[in-house]
Amino acid sequence: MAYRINPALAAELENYGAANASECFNCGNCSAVCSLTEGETVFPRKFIRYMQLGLTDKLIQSPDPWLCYYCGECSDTCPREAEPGELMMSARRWLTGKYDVTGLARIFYTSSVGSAIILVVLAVILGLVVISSSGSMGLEEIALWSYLDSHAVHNLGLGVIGLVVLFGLVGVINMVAQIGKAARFAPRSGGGGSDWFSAIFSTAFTEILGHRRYITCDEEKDEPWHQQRWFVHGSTAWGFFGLLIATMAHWILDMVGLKETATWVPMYSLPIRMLGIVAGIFLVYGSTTLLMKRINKGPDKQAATSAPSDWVFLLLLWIAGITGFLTLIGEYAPPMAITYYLLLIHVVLSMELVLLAPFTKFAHVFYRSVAIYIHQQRGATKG
Amino acid sequence: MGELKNRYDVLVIGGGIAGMQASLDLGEQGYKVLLVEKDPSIGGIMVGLNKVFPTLDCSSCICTPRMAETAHHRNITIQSYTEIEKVEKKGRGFSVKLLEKPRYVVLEDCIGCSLCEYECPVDVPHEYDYDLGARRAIYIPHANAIPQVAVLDVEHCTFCGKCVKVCPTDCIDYTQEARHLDLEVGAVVVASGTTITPMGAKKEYGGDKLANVMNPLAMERVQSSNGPYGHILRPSDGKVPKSIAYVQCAGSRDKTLGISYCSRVCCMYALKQAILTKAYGDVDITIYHMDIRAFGKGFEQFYRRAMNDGINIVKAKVAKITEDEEKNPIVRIEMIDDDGRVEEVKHDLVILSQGLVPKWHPDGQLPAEEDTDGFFRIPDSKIHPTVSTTDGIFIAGVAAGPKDIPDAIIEAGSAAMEAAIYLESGKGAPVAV
Repeated sequence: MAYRINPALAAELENYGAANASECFNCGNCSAVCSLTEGETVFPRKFIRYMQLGLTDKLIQSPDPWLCYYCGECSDTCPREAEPGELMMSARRWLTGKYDVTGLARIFYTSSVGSAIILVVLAVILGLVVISSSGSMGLEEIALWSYLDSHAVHNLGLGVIGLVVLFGLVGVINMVAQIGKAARFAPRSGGGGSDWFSAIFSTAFTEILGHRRYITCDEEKDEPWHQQRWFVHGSTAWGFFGLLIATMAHWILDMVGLKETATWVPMYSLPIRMLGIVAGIFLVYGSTTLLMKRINKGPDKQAATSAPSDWVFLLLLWIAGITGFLTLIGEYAPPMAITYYLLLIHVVLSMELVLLAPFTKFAHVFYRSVAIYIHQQRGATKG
Repeated sequence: MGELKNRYDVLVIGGGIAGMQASLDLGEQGYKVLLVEKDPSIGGIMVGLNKVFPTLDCSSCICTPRMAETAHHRNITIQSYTEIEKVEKKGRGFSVKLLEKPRYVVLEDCIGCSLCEYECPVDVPHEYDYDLGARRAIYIPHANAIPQVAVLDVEHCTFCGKCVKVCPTDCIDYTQEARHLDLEVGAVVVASGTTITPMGAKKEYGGDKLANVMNPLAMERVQSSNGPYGHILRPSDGKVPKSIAYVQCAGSRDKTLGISYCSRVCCMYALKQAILTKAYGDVDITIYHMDIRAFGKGFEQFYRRAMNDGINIVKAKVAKITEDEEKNPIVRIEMIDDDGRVEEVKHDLVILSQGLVPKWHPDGQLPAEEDTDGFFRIPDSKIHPTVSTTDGIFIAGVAAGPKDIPDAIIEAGSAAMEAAIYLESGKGAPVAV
């Protein structure tokens, strides 16, 4: 297969953060030091080579950038300080931009001004939609859902999820189509990989929930468990999934008529509410720690450079978590107007967080999962 | 060697091959030279090497005649076991403060008979053999040492008195103290030389904890016929290694170590050691490199010869070295020239081809500037490659930057000539023709 050389690839990737990769003299230290190399799934040097040679097709047709979790060992030991880990990160950002058809992902990764405008405009639109059906703020007694119309919020939520599924699917289909073009990942029979069922199972449980590769990635790190990257990330992810399940369950209960969203319940009475609270704690812990690491630009190498997309995602996640908790406290505290506003912010920003998922850092949820699935199914060795 | 006076034409700092060459070149021109050496013996690194590349001549056979010549030269005074306290510019010349460390042996009286050594009950790992061999607490530095005089290691001495009893000239003096010396010189040649990157510098390479990961200078001693083992054995268990690996650029061209330069000699000494070891018998030798830099006269042919001799030259930067239960070192590499897979390869012995770093950082003791790489700064390195930032101070050998033995000798000659010109130009108007 012939490949077209794209001389601008290096400049493109530099736009996404890979500042030093042209320093690389291809010694191979990074690939050899990486704890995630398996068989012939070897990175990052190969990808720096693609960048230096302008092999856009090679880069876009590989799922491997998604298999890197950026422990930073390669960057720490690189004799040229070419920051291979940062190149892998930039490749993932660049790929997110390539998979996305709307161009929004590229804006979120490369322009702070553009990101801010999109963020504000979208928040205003979502806010207006939510407020348009709002009722009164009762100050004798907190009645959150007499202020916001729960059905309107549910319907808006369904719309948002519909859009996310649509754009997420388009992105994933683009990704799979690109990867499918590479001869290496052409279908083959026997040896190396697993069947689709066990691949899905291990992707979902061992990898996404269990963070196996993340833990392997950091096995040489010497930090307390609650500061380890896999735990902080896991905490955020588990928290988000827990809240997603709790929210969906609330909605289902509402649909089948078991419990209306607007009704007040004691804090302990529903397992779903307990799930929500526990998951919320995980989410707030995780997202706060992630934000702090990015603000401090360390100690993790990963946190040293942040694109607007990273901030958008983490800030939305964090604000959604915090306002959720404050609203919950407000529900059981003496009635205050601010509780209603917190709810409004919580609803609007949660919607925005989910709606922007295919275009921000959040998109890694889709792409990393698909890449891991492909990796599990194909196996680590070449056919 | 002569009595110490209070005025010399030139102070030469460092008694390695470059310092000796500079001293001889100045001495031959009639200048009075004081050669100050920090160690108990002159000779530097070269006298401990096994062979030199690319000719494979015996290193000490070349170095010891120079040592003897230096020692017996009527214009050269050797001040060994002495450190520089301060060199200050004074007019065109320099005032110099030296610190002579106590040998606990009267230099002039010791006849180098070794009787004290034979009698001493304390065994200490020998620095000269990079701790692979042993010496006594009172010892003559090595067989080729000049001055051939004993030195007492007060850290390890038990003061049992056996050496004092056996000494035929009563030259052992436990009460000797350090001596401060003040003198004046007209010019200074710095040949303070080099040392290798510390073995523990890179934690990925075991941080100097792995028994069979060796220092290349230690390997020189192991290969030497007068080395600690007399055979090529590996340190942990004395096994004859059947598989030896060289890790190139282990201590240079690595920004994470703060050493981004190429040390210029490692490729060649690794090839040299590999060729010699291969000649001894049935052994697999692999050199892992980023690229082989064989740039000097006869070097490329030497590299070709190594390949013809069956030495495996593998392009791969070793990322990690670990060891198994038998203390066999395992190197982790990406097979760049093959299909790019990552492999862990087990060897019996690994030698880290450490780079060259400056041995002496003057830190205000000498008014010559250091460059960003830690070597002395040479402001006009093309036209005056041995002239420092201070008038009257000249830099010879590796003190100015990494180089091999012939280049160090050439620069020593150049530094000597610059020093002579400096001395002459200070004497007044040039002779009319």
